[in-house]
Amino acid sequence: MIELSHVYKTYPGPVHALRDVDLQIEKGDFVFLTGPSGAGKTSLFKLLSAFDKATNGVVKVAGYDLTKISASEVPMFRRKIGVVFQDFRLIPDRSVAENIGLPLQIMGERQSYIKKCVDEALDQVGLSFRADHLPSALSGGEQQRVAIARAMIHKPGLLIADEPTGNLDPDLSLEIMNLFRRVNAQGTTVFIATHDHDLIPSTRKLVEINSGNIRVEQ
Amino acid sequence: MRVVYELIAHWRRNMSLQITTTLIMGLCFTTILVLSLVAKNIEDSFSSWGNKVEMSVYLSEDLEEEGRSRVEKALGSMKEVKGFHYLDKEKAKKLFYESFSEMVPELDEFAGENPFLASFEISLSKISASVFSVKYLENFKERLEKIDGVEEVGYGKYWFESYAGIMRGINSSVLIVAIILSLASLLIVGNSIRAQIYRRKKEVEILELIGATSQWIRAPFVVGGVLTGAIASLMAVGGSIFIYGLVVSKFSAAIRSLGIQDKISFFGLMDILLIVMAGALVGGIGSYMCIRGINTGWSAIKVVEE
Repeated sequence: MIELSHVYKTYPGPVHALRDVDLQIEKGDFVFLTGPSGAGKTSLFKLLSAFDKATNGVVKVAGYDLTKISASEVPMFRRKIGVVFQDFRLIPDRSVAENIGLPLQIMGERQSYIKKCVDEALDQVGLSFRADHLPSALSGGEQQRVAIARAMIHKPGLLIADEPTGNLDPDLSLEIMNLFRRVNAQGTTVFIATHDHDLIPSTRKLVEINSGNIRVEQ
Repeated sequence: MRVVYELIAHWRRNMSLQITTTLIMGLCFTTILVLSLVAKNIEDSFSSWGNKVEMSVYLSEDLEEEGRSRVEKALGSMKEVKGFHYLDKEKAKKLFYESFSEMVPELDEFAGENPFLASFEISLSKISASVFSVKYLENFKERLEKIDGVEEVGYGKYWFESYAGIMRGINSSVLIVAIILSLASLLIVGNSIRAQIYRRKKEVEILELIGATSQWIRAPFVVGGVLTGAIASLMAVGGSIFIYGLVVSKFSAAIRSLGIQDKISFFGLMDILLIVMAGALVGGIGSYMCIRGINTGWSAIKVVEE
């Protein structure tokens, strides 16, 4: 699902954000990425989501070679993955149901199908009663559940989350992690960046990053 | 269908912003229209005064019938000449006495002589304001004087000189002000479109993030811009009809005294159609340029960098 080979990312300065990174994540894996601030988590995250290109090396995600991807292919690639952010990134003037249904709308699905999928997704994240509310009426945990539902509605093969519990209290964080586990149990590869070690179960694959170098622990 | 639905939903959610943008655009378009209307009516009045310019083409004393026909033929072939009629020596003398004998009784002393020349009195075709000048008339006069058998050509040069100068001055001033205000209006229109679209910058970033193509993101913005421009220009047409009616009724006496009442008019139906299309085009292009600046395909990068 994810394949990084001798990947370098250097910003002007020069700042070496990633150095000779090799990483393999198989379909169905549940992997945590951890490391201190400035270690290169965000740089790696940007490369995996096609928000940036590697200076050197090969980045392959969900069948796309992101080092060679053209601008017109980027939207198609982003439809193959789901992305969750620390600050939820919901459209404030659209209802919860409209936010969740957006990826399917973009893909040109029929309204009846979108409604059915949105209802299912709302049910899965336990927010059916919030369908018509605006994001501002929701708590932080609820907003993150909406963001996860939106990232999952088009059933992507890979879910990438950047500090998804960064703005949540410990109880809500565990609730969100349980949601990710359920997503992973359905066969979706989950890759989560977090600095909160308490949330990382010892049974999961862990990728540690520091000064642009990574170390993989099984 | 999706675009229309999104547009209606967005306008409903941002009613006050949409109304403000449309009103600003409408006001700017009204300014442009009113100034264009002033320029158009000055141009039309100008041309109508141009039509009233008459020239007298005096023929040589000894010109025979054949020579007169030659001059007549030459005048008939000139596009500047709208029409002409022949005034023979006797008629010219008679007209002169009719006009001046009461004021100058001494004229009777010359009753036996006829110092007047036969002439062709010509009226000119419609002259556009851009070429209407003393120079234009002088050039034409020179051409007339070159016709074999023509002794001299006369017209009210000095009256015309001051008149044309004043009218050209007014026309140029209106045009300059119209251009400056039009540019300023377009700048304001551009800024109000930009302000409206920048409020939705975050939405564009999120749409990119979840895989929306540029076409998908931009379509509602561009269609919205086209509709806003069209509505604003319709408002401007309405506004300028109101202002036009007000001005014409307030200055009706002055307009009549200048004899230009049949030359003062509003834009025709085709002009109005073009105005609405131009408004829609400005709205559409403005929106497209603005959304293109935000929807780069990579603006979602900022989401991660923030």
